[in-house]
Amino acid sequence: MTMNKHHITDYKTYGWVLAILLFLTALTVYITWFDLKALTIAAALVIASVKVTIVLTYFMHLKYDSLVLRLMVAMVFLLIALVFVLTFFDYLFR
Amino acid sequence: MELAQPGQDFLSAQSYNAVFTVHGVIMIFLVVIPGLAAVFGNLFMPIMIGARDVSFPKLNLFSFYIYMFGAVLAVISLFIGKGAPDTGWTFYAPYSTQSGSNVIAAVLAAFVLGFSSILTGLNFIVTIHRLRAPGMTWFKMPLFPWSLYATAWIQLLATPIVGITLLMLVAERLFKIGFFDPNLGGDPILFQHLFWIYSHPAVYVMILPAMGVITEIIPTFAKRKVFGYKAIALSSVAIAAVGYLVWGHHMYTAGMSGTARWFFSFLTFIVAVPSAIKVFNWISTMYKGSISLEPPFYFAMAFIFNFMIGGLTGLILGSLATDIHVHDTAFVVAHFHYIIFGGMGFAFLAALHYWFPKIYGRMYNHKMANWSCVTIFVGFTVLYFPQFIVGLQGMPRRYFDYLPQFQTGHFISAIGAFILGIGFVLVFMNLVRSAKTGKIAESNPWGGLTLEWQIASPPTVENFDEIPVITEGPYEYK
Amino acid sequence: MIHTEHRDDFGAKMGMWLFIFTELLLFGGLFIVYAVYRSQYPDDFHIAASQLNTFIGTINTIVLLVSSMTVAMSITAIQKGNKKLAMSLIAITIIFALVFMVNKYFEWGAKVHHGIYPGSELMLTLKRGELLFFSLYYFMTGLHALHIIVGMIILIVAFVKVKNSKINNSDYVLLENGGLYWHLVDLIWIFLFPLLYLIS
Repeated sequence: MTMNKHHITDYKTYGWVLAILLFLTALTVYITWFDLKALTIAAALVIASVKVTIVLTYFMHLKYDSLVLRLMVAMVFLLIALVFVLTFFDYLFR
Repeated sequence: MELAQPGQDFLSAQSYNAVFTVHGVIMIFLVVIPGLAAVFGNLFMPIMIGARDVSFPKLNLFSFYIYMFGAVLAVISLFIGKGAPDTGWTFYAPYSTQSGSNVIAAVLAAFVLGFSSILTGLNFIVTIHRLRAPGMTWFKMPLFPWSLYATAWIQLLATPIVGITLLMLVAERLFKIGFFDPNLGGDPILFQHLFWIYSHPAVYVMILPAMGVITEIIPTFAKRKVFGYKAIALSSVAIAAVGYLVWGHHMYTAGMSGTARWFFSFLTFIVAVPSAIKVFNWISTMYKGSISLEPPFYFAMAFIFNFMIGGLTGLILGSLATDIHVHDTAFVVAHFHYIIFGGMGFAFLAALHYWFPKIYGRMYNHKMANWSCVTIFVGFTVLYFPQFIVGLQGMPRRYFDYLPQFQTGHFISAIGAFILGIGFVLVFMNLVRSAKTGKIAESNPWGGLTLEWQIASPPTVENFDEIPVITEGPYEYK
Repeated sequence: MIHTEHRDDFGAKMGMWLFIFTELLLFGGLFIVYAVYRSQYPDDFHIAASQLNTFIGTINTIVLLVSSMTVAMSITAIQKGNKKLAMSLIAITIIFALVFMVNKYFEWGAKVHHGIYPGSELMLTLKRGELLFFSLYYFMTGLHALHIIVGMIILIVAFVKVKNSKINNSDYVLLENGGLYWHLVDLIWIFLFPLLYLIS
C-alpha cells in the first residue's frame, strides 16, 4: 500500500506546464503560415505528440505514478501505432 | 435443416439470409464471447486468486444489466421494422449501409454488448492486479486467471474499435455520411479492416478462457504438476498480443495489397506457435500422470482433439495460396466451428462438469455425463467434418441452395446435427436433475489443488472466512 | 487487507486508466479512418480543411488547455485541504467547458448556415474527398463534444461532492479520476486540432 502516499504537485509547476503547452499551440499555428510541403503533417504531428506527452506526464501525474500504469500507457500507444502501420501496409502498397 | 436436400425446402432465400445473420449475431456476441469468460470467470477467478469478490462489484452488476439490454435489443431486431437483418454477422459495408432490413437495431445491440464486455475486461484486469491473495505472485497464480487476464486485455483494447466502426455505420445509415460507401468516396475495405481488428481478437476472447479451463482440468485429473507452467502462462499473453495483429487474414481476397497479405500471413503462422506450445504442454502433463477418467476429463480430451483439427486447418487458411481456393467456402465454416464449437463449446461443457459440484454442491450422474460427451462428440464430428470435404470441393458458405454433387456431404451433416441435438438434451437433463436431487458432493471431489477446491461447496457469500496466504505455486502434486 | 470493507484507491485509478485506454482506441479507430482517407484524397482534404475557422479552433484549444490546468490544480488544492480553492477551480473548469461548447455551437452553426452538414444537398455535390472530410469533421468533433458534455457532468458531480466534503484531503480519488477524464478530452483535442484545422 505504498500508493497512499501521493505526490503533491505545486501550482507553480502547473503554471509552467500550461505556459509551455500554450507556446507549442502558438508554434503549431504559426508554422502553418509557411508552406512546408510534405513536412506540414509531420511538424503538426510531432508538436501534437510532444503536447500529449506533457499532458500525460504532468497533468495526468504519470510521472509520479507507479511503473505498472506507465507501462500500460506506453503499451497502448505502441499498439495504436502498430495498428496504423499494419493498416498502411495495405493502403501504401496497393 | 434447409441444406439437407438441394432446392428450396422450407426457407426462402431472404429468410435464410436473416437466419444465418441472426444465428451469427446471437451466437457470437451473446453466447461465445461472454460465455466462458463472464460465467466461469466471474464465479471462479476471484476464488482462484484468493479474493472475496471482483474489484468493482457494482460495475459488474451494471455490465450484466447492459448485457441483458443488448440481448433484448438483438432479439427485438428480429421482429420490428422491415424484417430481420440479412447482412451476415459481419455487417460488411456497403451492403449493410443499403439493406432495407433492420440493421441499426442489430448493430446497436452488438455495440451495447461490446460495452458490457469492455467493463468485464476492465474489472478482471484490476481484480487480478489488485486483489490477489497475499503471497500469490504472478507466477503462483493458477492458469485460468492467467488466461482470463490475457482475454481481458483483448476485450478492453479491441472492442472500442468495433464500437466506433459500428457507430460510423449507424451514422452512415442515418445521415447519409459516406464513410464506407464507394459512391460517396468511402472505402468498404476499410470497414473490413476496422471490423476485423476487433473480430479476429474476439476469437481469442473465446478460445483463451477455453484453454485456461483445460489447463485447470488436465493437471487435476492427471494428478501431476502442469508441465511448463510459465510457458503456458506466457503463451496466453503471446496469443493475445500477436492475435491482435493478424486481422488481415480475413481479407486475403478482399483486394488488399500483396505486401499486407504476406505480412498478415506471416503473423498468422506466428500465432500457431504459442497455441501449439499449449497443446504440447497439456500432453506432456498427462504423460506418466495417474489419470482418473472422469467426465470433465473426457470433455477436455475432446477439446484437445477438436482444437488440433481446427488449428491445423487454420494453417491451411492462413497460407495465401490455399486460402484463395477455400475462401468463403464451407471449409471456413467447418474450421471456425471446430475452433468455436469444438474448442470453446467443449471447453464450456468441460468447465460445467468440472465446477458443477462446486457451484451446486451436488454431483451429477457420471455414466450419463460420459455418454452425453460421446454423443456430442460423435454428432459434432459427423456434422462438421463433411463440411471440410464439401468446402474443398467448392461449396460456398452462406448459400441456401447448392448443386447436386454436394448433397452427400450435406445429408451427413444434417444427421450429425440431430445426434448433436440429442447429446445436448442428455447434458441438460443430467445437470438439471442433479442440481436438484443429485448426491451431495464433498467440497473437493476431484482432488484439485487450486483455491476454489479448498472452500465449501457451494461457496459462501464472501468466498473465504479468512483470506489465505499463498506459499507455493498451484498444481504442486506430490 | 483483513477488513471486508477496504478501499483501493490505486485500483480505482487503474480502472479509470483502463477506461481511458478504451476511449483512446475508440478515437484511434477514427484517426485510422482519417489517415486512410487523407492519404487517398490529399488535395480534397487540403481544400476542405481550409474552410474551417482556424481562429475558433485555436481559441478552443487554449480554452481546453487552461481548463486542464485548473482541474489539475484543483487536485493539488484538495490534497492541501483547501476546499474553497478546489471548488472555485472546478467551477472555473466547468465554465471553460461551457465556453468551449458555445464556440462549437457557433462554429457548427456557421457551417450549417452555409449548407454544409451531413446529408445536405450541397454536401452531396462536393468532391468525394471534401465530402469525406466534412463527414469526418462532424463525426469526430461531434463525438468529442459528447465527451465534453460527459466530462462536464462528472465535474459537476465532483463539485457537489467537494462541497459536501465527500471528497476531502484523505479521499479524493473520484476527483482524480474526473480530472483524468477531463485530460483525456484534452488529449484527443490536441490531435484533432491540427489534423482538422491546421493542415491546409
